[in-house]
Amino acid sequence: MGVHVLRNFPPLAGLPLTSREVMREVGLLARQRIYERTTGGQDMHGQAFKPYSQSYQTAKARELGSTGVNLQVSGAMLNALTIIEVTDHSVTLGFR
Amino acid sequence: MTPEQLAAQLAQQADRASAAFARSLSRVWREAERRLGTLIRSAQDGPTATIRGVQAAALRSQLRTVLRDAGYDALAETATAAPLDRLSSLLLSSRSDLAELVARPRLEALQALHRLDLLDEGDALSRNLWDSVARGLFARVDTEDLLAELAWRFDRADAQIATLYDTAVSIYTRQVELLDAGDSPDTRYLYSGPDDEKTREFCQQHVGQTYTRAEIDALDNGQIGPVILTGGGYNCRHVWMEVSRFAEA
Repeated sequence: MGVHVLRNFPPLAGLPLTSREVMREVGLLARQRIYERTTGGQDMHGQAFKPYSQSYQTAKARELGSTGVNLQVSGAMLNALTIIEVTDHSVTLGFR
Repeated sequence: MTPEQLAAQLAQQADRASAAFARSLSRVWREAERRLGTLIRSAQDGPTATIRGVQAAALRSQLRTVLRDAGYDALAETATAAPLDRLSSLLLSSRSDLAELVARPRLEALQALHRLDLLDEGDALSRNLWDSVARGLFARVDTEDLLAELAWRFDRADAQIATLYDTAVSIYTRQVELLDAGDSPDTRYLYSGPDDEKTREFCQQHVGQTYTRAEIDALDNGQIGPVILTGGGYNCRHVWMEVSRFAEA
């Protein structure tokens, strides 16, 4: 007695798992996580950033009242992080 | 044109506008320094404190005139006209449905405000130059030392004024976030940017938090709207960063 397996759906290899819309959402999520991690003082490995040099720390404290390493002064760099390309299968973040 | 392509074009035009402004500003400073040199040397010719005092008082109004004659005010006018017009035309021609959202009158109002900001910075610079000149004249500081101090004042102003202009230009490129995000009132945005001593109260209240588009449209920064475009208002360092539907609320 044999076993018969019937498939009533298209080949799984051909199933679209992503779309441009989904990849865009992934890009937005990645951007938000990068932003929140960086402004929280953590690098890409989840470790605290290396402290600023004493002279820079003093200058930043004098101008902005803060000394924490968060890669922000004007805000322009992190605000410029954006999705620069999105396809059905990939998303690329970069700077405008 | 995809939103990403439009973003790239806007960014390119914005960079060109900023670079052109920086070059023109450098020419203005060189001309201003040249005129100032002549003015300072003649003011230091007075032998007595009384004469120097009289000359210093006259110099106060002449300093602002120096900037104007060197082309600063004209630059503030031209830099906030054609370049910003080109950015808004690029935007509106790509998305005519945004006409109401980013209506031309609003963009023109923003242009006028940026122009005033630049002119105010010119006033502030002439007051700073006056501080140096007045102290220098009464203390009989060597002319070359005084001119060196004035050159330092110009350097500081250059960085501040260039940043101010870049901010004006960036407001237009902020439109791109809106283009891609669409107009859904449920779209969520994170208010992103620095939180330090220079952050105004409105921005301190909202930075790091997420809001729906509908909630943002109900906000009032007390300066100029719509808040989705202008953030906290003048020289705002913050932007509304669209967040994913998959992000935790």
